[in-house]
Amino acid sequence: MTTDIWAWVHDTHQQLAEAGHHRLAEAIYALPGHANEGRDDQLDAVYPEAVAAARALGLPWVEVYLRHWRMQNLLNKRHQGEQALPEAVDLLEFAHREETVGCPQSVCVVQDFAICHARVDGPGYVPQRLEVLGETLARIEPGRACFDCLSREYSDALEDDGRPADALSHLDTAAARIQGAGERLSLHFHHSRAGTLHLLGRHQEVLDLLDTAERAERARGHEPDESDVRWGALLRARALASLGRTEEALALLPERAEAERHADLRQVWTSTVELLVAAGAQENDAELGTVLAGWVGYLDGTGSHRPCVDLLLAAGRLAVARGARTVALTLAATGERKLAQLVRTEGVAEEVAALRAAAEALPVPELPVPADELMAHLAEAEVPYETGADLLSVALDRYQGVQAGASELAGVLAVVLDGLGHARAAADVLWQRLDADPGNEQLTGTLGQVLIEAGDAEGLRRLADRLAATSPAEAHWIRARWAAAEARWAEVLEQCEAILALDGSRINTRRLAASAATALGDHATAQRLYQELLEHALPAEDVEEGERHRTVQEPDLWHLITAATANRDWAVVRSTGARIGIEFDEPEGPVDEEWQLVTVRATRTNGATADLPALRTGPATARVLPVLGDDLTLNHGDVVVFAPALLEPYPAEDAPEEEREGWRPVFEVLTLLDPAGFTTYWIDGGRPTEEQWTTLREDLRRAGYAVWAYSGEQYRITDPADEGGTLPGLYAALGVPPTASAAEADALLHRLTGDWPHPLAWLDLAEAAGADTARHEGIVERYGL
Amino acid sequence: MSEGAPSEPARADDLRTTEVDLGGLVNVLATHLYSTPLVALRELVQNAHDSHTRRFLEDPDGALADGSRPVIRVRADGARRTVSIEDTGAGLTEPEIHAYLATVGTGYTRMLRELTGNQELIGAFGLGFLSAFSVADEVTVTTTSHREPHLGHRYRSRGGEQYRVEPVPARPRPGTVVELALKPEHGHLADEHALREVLGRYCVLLPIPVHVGDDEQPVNAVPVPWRQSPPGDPYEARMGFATAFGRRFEPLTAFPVHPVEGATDAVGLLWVQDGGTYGSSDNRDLAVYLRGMLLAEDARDLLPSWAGFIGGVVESNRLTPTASREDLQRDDHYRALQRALADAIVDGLYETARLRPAAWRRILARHGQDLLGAALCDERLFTLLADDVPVPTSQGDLTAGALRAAGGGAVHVALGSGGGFEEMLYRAMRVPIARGDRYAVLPFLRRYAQLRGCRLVELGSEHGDRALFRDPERPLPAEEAAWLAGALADRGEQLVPARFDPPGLPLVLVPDREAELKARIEDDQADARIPSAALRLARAFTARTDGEVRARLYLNLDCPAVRDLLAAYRAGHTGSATAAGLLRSLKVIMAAAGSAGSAGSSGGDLTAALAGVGTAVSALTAAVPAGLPDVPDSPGTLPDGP
Repeated sequence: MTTDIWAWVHDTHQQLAEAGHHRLAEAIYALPGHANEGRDDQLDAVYPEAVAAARALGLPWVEVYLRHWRMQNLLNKRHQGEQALPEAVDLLEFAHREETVGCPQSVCVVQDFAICHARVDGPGYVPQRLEVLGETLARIEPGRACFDCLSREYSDALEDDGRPADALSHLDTAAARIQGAGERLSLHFHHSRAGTLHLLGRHQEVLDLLDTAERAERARGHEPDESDVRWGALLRARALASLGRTEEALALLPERAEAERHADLRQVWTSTVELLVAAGAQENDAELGTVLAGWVGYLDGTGSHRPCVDLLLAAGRLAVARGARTVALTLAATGERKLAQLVRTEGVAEEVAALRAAAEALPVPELPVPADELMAHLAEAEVPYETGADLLSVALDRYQGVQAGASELAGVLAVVLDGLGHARAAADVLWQRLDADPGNEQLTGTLGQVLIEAGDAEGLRRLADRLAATSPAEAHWIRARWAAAEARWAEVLEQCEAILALDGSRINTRRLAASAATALGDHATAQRLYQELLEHALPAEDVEEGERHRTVQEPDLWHLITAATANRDWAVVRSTGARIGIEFDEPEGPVDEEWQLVTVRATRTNGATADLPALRTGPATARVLPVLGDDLTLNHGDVVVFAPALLEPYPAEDAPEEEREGWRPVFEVLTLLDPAGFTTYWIDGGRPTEEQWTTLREDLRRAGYAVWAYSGEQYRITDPADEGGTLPGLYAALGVPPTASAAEADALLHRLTGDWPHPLAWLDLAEAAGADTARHEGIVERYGL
Repeated sequence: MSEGAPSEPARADDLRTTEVDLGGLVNVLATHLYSTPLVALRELVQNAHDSHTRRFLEDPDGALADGSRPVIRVRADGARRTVSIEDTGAGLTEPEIHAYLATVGTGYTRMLRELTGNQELIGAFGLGFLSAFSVADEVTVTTTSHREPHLGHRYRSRGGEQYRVEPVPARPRPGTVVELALKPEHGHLADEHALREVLGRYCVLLPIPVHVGDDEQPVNAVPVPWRQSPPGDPYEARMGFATAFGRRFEPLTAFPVHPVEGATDAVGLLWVQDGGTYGSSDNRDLAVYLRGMLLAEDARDLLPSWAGFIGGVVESNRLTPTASREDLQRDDHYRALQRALADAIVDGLYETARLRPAAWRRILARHGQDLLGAALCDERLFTLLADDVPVPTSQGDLTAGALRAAGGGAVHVALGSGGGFEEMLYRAMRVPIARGDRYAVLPFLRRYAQLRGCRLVELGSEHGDRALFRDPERPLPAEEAAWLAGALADRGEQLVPARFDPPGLPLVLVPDREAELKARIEDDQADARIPSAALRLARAFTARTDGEVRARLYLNLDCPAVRDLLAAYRAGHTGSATAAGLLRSLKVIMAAAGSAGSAGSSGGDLTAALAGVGTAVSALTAAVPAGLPDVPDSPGTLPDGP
């Protein structure tokens, strides 16, 4: 059995590189670095390709290796628990098949499996972890790198069992055995030992140990990696804070943004901040609370149940300390929910109970105004969110029995809690309120919004199903908005039609449905919906503020114009245009006028956008000017329908004069209305004089052709008369009208450019015309085109 | 002493010994410190350059009064196996010869630089001259100092340990010629072609012209775009320099590196290379010059690791070379330059995208894969590339925007982890699907979806697969669902009425991964393979699912065949069982085609399914029994019956 993993990695790298599998060879070297140093994006970039390659090449050892390192990253850097468990089990099984069991990294996979349980509930799985790790440690020599990792993990399990002294002696015994086998201890080993010393309150020793360990690394010529540096600073900061050396601790403590980026830092970072707050060296504000709530939500989502509870307890203590009663209670409730997911709650259940007690013991604020005036007061006085949450909770208590008011308050409380980072708790408030007030549309609307923002598909389905019986239109509306948020336009239309079948007077439903129809390219439906909208809209006069959306808005008219244009319903275009004050040159018939130069933004066949100059011919139409290549489905002379919303704002008042003068409105192309049928051929060669060029353009235009130069001043071609010399070049697109054949175009070009000092080449046109291509090939050759 | 006089036989006191143990040192230099013997040439050209600088400092009037421009000339004589380096600089007096050619570590150059602060002097360690012995058996230095223009000296040493100095006729102009009698193994250096190649790169930034042989054109004649402002387009000048300098690849575009106030003095040029080497995406190529002389040929680590397609040249006076003079110390300046270069690349790419669309398109086409990865490492780069960079998909390379448009607003990406049903379903969907198993595709699209607010369907993940199957418009009555389950599902399969694309596809069987895993973990063979404590814990996990549902059978209620089947069933049509049998066979055949060997998802017996097709066909083509009215099945699609 191979035992030296790095020797194996090196050999495998060599073999893969020699066999031509360079990318996999590179990935094998790069992956552990990405995984260990928290370059999560890089890891995600490399991993899928590498593992697919390993499978395709039938290299199960390599697959074990790649999956192991990714698992290390998921567990140690991203703190996934339950979320990673299926893959951890799958990998465990895969790494113990006949073809993989000899892989040196299979042992590490057992360790991954143990770590995964440590993430889910470290203290809860202490006996199992010790058993799994003990079983594996017994099988391997202290000289192997895995012995180092497994020993650390073993001591972590002892710590989770509340036995830091045993953990320390386990580490020291392991250290002696590793060194006895002639190996060095890893920096991680020292960091682990520093963690144990911290638990034992031996803070000065932590500092000394980190110094010695890093010096030793450097003496070996190993610069600590990015992750080591972060951890070195963080562990020192915690030790210093524990020693009361707050200034030094603050100087070393990684920025909050670092902890945002690297989930592995958060627990120790938070406990260090707790120490600093207690010492009065750091501010304990709502912003900190919001960040911590976000981290709690993250661990909740990754199924890192125990770390989630540990973190929410810290967040709860800080909330209590700053008197944020509702936030502390919310955290306590989250804690109570999480307890059910733990295997062992002894100790931690008491802490959650203590958090609730402490939160409840905080003074309940007096309402500054009657409950029904609270909302106006909050907005007017710009009450901070945490205070607002407390006041809303009090008002909500007072309102028991008054449905409408309570539901409105609950909606606002949910928004406030969401803003404080408690997304799930916000939804819970609304769900509870919905039990008491099932028919409240505002409540379901807010809940739907919260769920859509959280991407909670399961919750949305539950909400829609629940509403389906009592208020089917509301259920469809939730589904429609959800589908719209995910751009599932066909479903948006389907759901909206279902609503309109129930209640034909809806206005916003038609707006959403019409925009879905437009996105689907179904302009007939869009036009119908906008016309119905006009019929059902309330008259603009004497409409109450809350009903404003039920009147006709100017964008509705523009959208109708667009849809009608696409449908060539010119009468509707004209009548609707008249409503917004558009004056047409001609009173009837198709609108085809000369308005102004605009830019239309089209999509290339590869999906990139192209801004094309065009002449606006009506409220929603423009004629494309340039002759275009085959990466666009449009061409010169084509009339397109565009969406009338400006894609680029008019330059600001203080923008440079040049920018303001050069500005042209940019509109998005919706659809092609009238194709002009031009075919593009490219011409290339020596640049003629300005006069020759103007003449050519004029002659072509008179013959019904179009031409568009693509090259600029910088385009140079080889000068056949001067070795190493260049001539100004011309590269242009010729648009041949549908009325002319390629042969006619070929003949025309010969006639118009035949006397130029440097000939032009038009190879593809000559081919299409069935003409002799040798002349063009010769030009290409001579002029280096 | 007149020219041509025979040199006297060496006296014992002329044959001096250098002040350190040179035998060992030269050996160290030759084998360890310098990676290639060419470095010796570089050092000597550098000494020649310094000699000119010294002349300007010590004798500015004389240097100018001398009439001709300073020049360095390097000659090779293949027959004699010699290389000589000649300058018209300061020259050496005899005491200087003893002090500087023979003493290691107290380079006059460094001393002078410390005294004057002149940054144009290159030499730093005094090792430069000694490096000559790493390639030469014998070194001869013939020199005339500007201080004593009437005297000439010749230093001569074999091996460097002992040397002699003898008077020779003065050179016509002050200056020095160093002649190397090369060791046999370095004889190939005595080739002027090779010298032009090497020195062209080493000396490209030296202000003093360096000629090889009798060339009139110096090897360092390419205008340096950040020093001179040549007439015409600065872009052309940059491209010209990059083309002359880039050895391996033509440049696609080039952009400048400017000093950053308070961070780095580095200035130079970067370019995007055309093409890559097979198999490696890391073709970073950066040459670093210190005071005009090439210091590090391959300083790729100064460039960000994602910039595998970038080549460049920078010069800086603040970087510190390591003792080997071929690498740079990783100090604060080094790190500041790293940051500045990363910014310069991003700025340069922005400029290219804005001003040179054709070059930008070539860059995207050529380096799309690397750019996908690069975008993940730099926010600004991501913003620039999000809409432009092509992504490999099932229908060729497409931008994320094209994927989104073709996917009806959603971007589809296949994780490539799945079995057959996914492949089959994706093919049937006919929308382009990004290859999530290619480099950087998945994280790139995740970020794109976030940035552009569109939906990312990750096919092959549980969540993504679920997104393919929409809920039915209204739930199926329990009785109909039960009939369908009985008619279509095999044991362990759960029927799920749904709607999905394409409507032509009636049903699809999706294996349950948890059930598959449970079967493998709970298999008796696992006992022998997996350590027992770990296995117990793994089984605790798999015990959470009952494993009853091994696969889900999604039935497409949008599919005309399924609608017809339901209508027939509701109408009590006798053909409905036969039709259901056909669909059931179709399910088994599709599952068998896709899931070669995957346990737990076999979806029934293939032989029986094929037989079922035969039975159905014969039932459908049998003569219509009397008493049955019009059979709604369309006979036109089936072979004519007997």
